[in-house]
Amino acid sequence: MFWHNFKNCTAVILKGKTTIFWTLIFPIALATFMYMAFGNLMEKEEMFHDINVAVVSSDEESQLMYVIDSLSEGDDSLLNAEKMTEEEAKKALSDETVEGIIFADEVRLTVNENSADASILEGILSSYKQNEYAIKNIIEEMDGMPDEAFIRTLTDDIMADVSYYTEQSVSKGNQSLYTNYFYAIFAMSCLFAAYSSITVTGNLQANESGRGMRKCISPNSKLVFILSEFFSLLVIHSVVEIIAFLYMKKVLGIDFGDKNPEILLTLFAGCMIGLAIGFIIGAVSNIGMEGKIGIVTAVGLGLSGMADLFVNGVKHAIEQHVPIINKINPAALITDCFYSLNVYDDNSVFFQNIVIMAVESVVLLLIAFMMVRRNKYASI
Amino acid sequence: MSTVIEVNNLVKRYKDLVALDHFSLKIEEGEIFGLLGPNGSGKTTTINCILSLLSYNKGEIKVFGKEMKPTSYDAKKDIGVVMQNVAVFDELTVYENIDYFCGLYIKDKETRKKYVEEAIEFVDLSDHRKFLPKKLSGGLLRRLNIACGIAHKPKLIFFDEPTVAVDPQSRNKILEGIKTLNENGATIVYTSHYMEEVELLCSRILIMDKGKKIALGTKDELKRMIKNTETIKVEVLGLETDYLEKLKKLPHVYDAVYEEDLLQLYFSGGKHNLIRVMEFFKENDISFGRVTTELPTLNDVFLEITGKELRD
Repeated sequence: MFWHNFKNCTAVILKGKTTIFWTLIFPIALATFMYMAFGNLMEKEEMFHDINVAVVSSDEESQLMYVIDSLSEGDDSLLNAEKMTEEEAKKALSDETVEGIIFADEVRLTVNENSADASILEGILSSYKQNEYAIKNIIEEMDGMPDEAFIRTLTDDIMADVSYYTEQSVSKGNQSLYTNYFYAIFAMSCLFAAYSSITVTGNLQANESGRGMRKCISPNSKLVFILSEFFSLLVIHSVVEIIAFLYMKKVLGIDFGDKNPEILLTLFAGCMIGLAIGFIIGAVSNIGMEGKIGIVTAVGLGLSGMADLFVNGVKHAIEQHVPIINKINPAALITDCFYSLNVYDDNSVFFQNIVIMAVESVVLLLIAFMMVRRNKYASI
Repeated sequence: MSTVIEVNNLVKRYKDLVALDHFSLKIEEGEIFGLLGPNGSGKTTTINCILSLLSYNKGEIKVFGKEMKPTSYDAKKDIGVVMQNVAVFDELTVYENIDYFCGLYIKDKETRKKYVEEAIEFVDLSDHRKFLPKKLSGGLLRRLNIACGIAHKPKLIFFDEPTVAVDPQSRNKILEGIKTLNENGATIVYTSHYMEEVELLCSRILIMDKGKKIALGTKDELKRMIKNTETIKVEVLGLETDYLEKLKKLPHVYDAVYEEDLLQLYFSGGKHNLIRVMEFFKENDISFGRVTTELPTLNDVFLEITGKELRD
């Protein structure tokens, strides 16, 4: 009976096409729109470019020229400096081929507009001025004028302070802010699997459909129906999430890190809890299908909202005041799984969340079964 | 013959509405038992209570001698239901639908395959086995609905208004099919508000209204319960009141109505009522048009007991 019903449920959903279409199109379309919206920002984050700057200087050997040359060298260069006459520099600035003009003799900067590049140039010049002031103070306190080599060494030492702090990743994961939004799509998509399960439970309730009536009068336990249909939907939705994952990874090129098995396990557990939520809502016998769709939407959006999927800070506020909610909210658990995969090399938090989702799913399914097992309806 | 269904003192309320009011019935093995009543009389509610789908306020229901509960799987194995509304999966073909619902009862694949083929043959859908339900006409869809309900060869089959919105050809096929199922040993419970179907099919008929049993018996027994044995209708122009009064005094006439040029004479007993009426018209030299004589129907039974038409 289990396989008979499993096969039928799978066939009905696959042949019906509508459910499968919307289930698949939702994460793919949302990811595509999000990619289009973030695309530019994501590229900027990844491809930080050298800043084109014109340098006007009468002294090639000045300290500032030395600093500018050092910032323009190597693979991690910050500037693309070009020495010009004042006229050439002004023309280049008006043509927007350079972001600014550094007048090295006066240690002065001219820019056209307030941009990120202009801020960086200002920062460099400001930093130089501070260091120059510090070096002059040191020299003044020394007896006699130091030689050129000493000044160079001192300059290098002070400039080297800048790179004392280097960014070190504590994990192999991707910590991009934008990738988290794509994880959020998965969380919501998993929760919205509940739409499929309320449709399926509608076909299990005598007061909601003739098909449900036929099942109710057949000599079979409701538990068999619930389990077979749950696993059928779980397989279908897991495959859908994998397709969406592959689309985002391969087609959109989103960097989800290298923990693919763990990500897939999260999607599987997410589908499991999403479906279980749908089963328990579907098992309530005295509200119609429209009411159930409304409840699933409200619950899905509510839980997602509490997990920061729309506005940042809600989850933190919940953690401060009612932390237990974050421990049981499926949307929070799903995003936490992704977050922990991103941030920690240790998977203990991840597995803890997976276990909580599994336990919640089992409990919800059992409650759904208890609600429908010996149901006699008040009206049909 | 053993009792297949026994319902005692069943009461079902929907808030203030009493859908079944101390309703009782007993159906014996091998019967085609008709539940006849107007829409809303409680026929479907009765079936749903018997099938343990509906909760009820009071009473006792036994099927195959045992109390019927949602978990009475032994009894459910031998029950088939053809519902009022077509209940199939739109996504599955004719064959797949029958196979699925049959599979809820029959585990063995080979047996199931055989049963499904027989059901398709029985409802004459062999040429449509690969059709999706949306490609079927209303009549064919009803036949598919029947096949889904009877493919597992149940001993007790409920037909809940199976011919609603069905063309005459499909209707005849459905009625013939029900007779065949009964001949093959199945006990049939047939609900309808079409009295002609019930008269044609059923060995015993229970007439119900407002959740109450009004009358029970064979069609002849039911007709004998009422005063009317014959109604003669005569088309006549401008019949004078004197003549109408004289007609009322003819032997066995218990009522006469003249409305819109149609005279209706109601008889209770008597063997030569039509001859007497014709002689009356000849003797009084009254011109008349079409003359019809009607034997009482179940509608007359219902009308006489409840004071309203069955089709109201």
